[in-house]
Amino acid sequence: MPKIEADVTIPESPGGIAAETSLRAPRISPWKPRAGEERLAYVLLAPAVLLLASLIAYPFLTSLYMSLTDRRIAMPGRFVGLRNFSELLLEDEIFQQTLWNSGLYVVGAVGLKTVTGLAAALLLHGMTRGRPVFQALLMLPWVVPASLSVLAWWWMFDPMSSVINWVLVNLGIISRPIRWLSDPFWARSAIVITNVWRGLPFFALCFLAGLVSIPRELYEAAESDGAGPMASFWHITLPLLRPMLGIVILYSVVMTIADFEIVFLLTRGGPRNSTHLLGTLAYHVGLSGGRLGEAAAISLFIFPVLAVVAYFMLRAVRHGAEVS
Amino acid sequence: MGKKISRRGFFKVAGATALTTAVAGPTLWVRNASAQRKSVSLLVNSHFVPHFNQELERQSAEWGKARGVDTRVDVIAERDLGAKLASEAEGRAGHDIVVLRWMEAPVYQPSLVPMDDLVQELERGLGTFPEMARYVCRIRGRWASLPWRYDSGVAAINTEHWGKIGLSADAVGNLTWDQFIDAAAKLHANGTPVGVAISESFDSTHFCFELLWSHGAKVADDKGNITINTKETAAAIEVAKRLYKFMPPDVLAWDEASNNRAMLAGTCSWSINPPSIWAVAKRDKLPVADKLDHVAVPAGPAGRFRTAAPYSLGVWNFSPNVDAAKDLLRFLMQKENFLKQVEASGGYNQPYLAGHRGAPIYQRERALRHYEPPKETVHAWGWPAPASSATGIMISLFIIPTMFSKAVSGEMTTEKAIAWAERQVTRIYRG
Repeated sequence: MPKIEADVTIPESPGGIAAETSLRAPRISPWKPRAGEERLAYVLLAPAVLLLASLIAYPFLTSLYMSLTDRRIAMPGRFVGLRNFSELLLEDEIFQQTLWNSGLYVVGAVGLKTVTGLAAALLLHGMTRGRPVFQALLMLPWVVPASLSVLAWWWMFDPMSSVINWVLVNLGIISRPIRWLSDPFWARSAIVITNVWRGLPFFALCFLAGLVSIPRELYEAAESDGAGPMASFWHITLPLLRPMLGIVILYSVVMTIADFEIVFLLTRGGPRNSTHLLGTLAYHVGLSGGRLGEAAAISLFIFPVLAVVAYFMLRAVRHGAEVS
Repeated sequence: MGKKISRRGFFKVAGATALTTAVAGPTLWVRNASAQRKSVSLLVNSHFVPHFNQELERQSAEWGKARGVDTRVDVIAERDLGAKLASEAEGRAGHDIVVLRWMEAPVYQPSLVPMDDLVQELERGLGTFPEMARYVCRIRGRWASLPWRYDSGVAAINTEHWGKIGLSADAVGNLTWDQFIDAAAKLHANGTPVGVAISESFDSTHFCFELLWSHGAKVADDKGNITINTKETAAAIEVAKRLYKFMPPDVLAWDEASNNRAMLAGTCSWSINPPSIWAVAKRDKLPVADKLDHVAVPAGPAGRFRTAAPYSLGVWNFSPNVDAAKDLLRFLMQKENFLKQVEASGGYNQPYLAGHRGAPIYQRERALRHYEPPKETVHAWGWPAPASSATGIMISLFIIPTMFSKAVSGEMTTEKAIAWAERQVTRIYRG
């Protein structure tokens, strides 16, 4: 894409007046709004800005302030500065474990969704017949209400009647039932599996859209140069999918770390707090215990981390777009 | 073709219409609302015995019909109630009357109308509320909510399995923990183990507190001083560790329904639960129904205890219908109405007041004869720690079941598990 500066010509003139004029009113603008139209533009933008301010900025700033107070339900709080944050980080072992759980959950779930989503997209892209049917089937986990699908998974992981255990035992793969929800490792695996199952369609469809947009000529040229399928994947598919990968992974990291319902319905944070996420812990502290300030601090804790992740991810995406 | 509307004309008409609506709309709406009949709304959790909710709706409607007041009973899932209460208290809008569980009365006390007058009135006619009701509902010298009912963690047993090892139901109800573990070994060998949740579940909360109290252990004293790190707590955990060997290993992941299913399937011989297992078996005419009974939980060196999950009713102080709401509560607590509620709940709801005792179902049903009135010492979860949001968080985060779970699973030694719980509880109570 040509750079904007290339279109801004600065004529050489001794006094530099023309250059100054040219900078103030670059010729690239095909349409110069009149003052009245500019005002109208702001007026038309105002509802959207107000909506964003009331639905995003206000709740965010309110919870930010709340996290700096010792506020309890239906009671005014006192400003306590960063005390909630420091106590959580330095003294609260359940919170520390929750941070660890959240990290494992995000890395496990997003990693698996990326790999399986990409594999599913490549399979779908390579299909010559029946692709729409498989695409529709792939959508099913996404369209089923989360509460219902998680309850179904809960039944499948149930200690006494797990169909997964039944199948594995009868196939001779395992000798005794897996303690899906009572063992920390397997409970963490269970919530990751459920999250991957729900999130896979989104990844697969986004990656499929990215694959479709890659010109076939590139593959044909690579093939004529003797490149095999793996070489084409590494040197054409993956670099050109990078912007899409970045956006999808970033979105998924944010959504996965903020997950609530899978843990709330499947494990309630157990066994022994090994599956608590920030959302479920904040729920217990804020809504069951009434400590809104502390709960706000728990839920906001990850915000700076996510902001840094988002910055680097978007920078990588921009770089990828420029490369492509 | 009609008259053409100019852009300027369109904006004028649209603007005038919007302005008129904005100014006149609320006025008309308020007038319309004030002309409506008075109404009282009640928010309750979905009961484990659904027929109870129907009876509550029926009684509320009966009261509304007599007073010329519209009534509405909204029933929501138990796990959603906490969020709903918080949103109503924060928004200062919602139902007039709300059900409050466990430590919710202390948490919401600033938003509740004191119930002193109604409590005094009821106590004059029906006897005084017991200490357990005062513990949960009387906050800083005032009744924050009206004690309504409780359910308790009694032992549900399969008499057939116990009969095979030579113990009658009454004998099971007289066991100590040591004798119980010996019996549990035999039941385990027979393929019909005992089972109780040691997990993030309220059945587990029942079990752990009963075990702690029966060994003389307490999480905190009535001043809020943490007293969990004692040899009594260690003794209670050691009992749980010995018992765990004879239980299904998955009790570490059991939820509220797991023991119900195991008992109903006939594979489990003993568990701690209010009588909903028996109620479902009887309702669905399951073969196991006649074999089920309820007995006291085993005793420890400090005695035989039973835990209670208390429920009370509160009226928001932002309710526009405080007097009508209190009148509905008065109606629901009338003896004949309360006894019908007990009947509809299949005996699940237990009364606080002496005047509410003697529901026919407790005489009629053999399986409920030990459930009500309790012969054991009954306390609410958390006792004797002060009823407060801290105790609420301790219960909600399942600190005590987690302590037991860490020890019985081998993740920590008994001493380390207690020290872990002590650190958690200390931080919670200090906050």
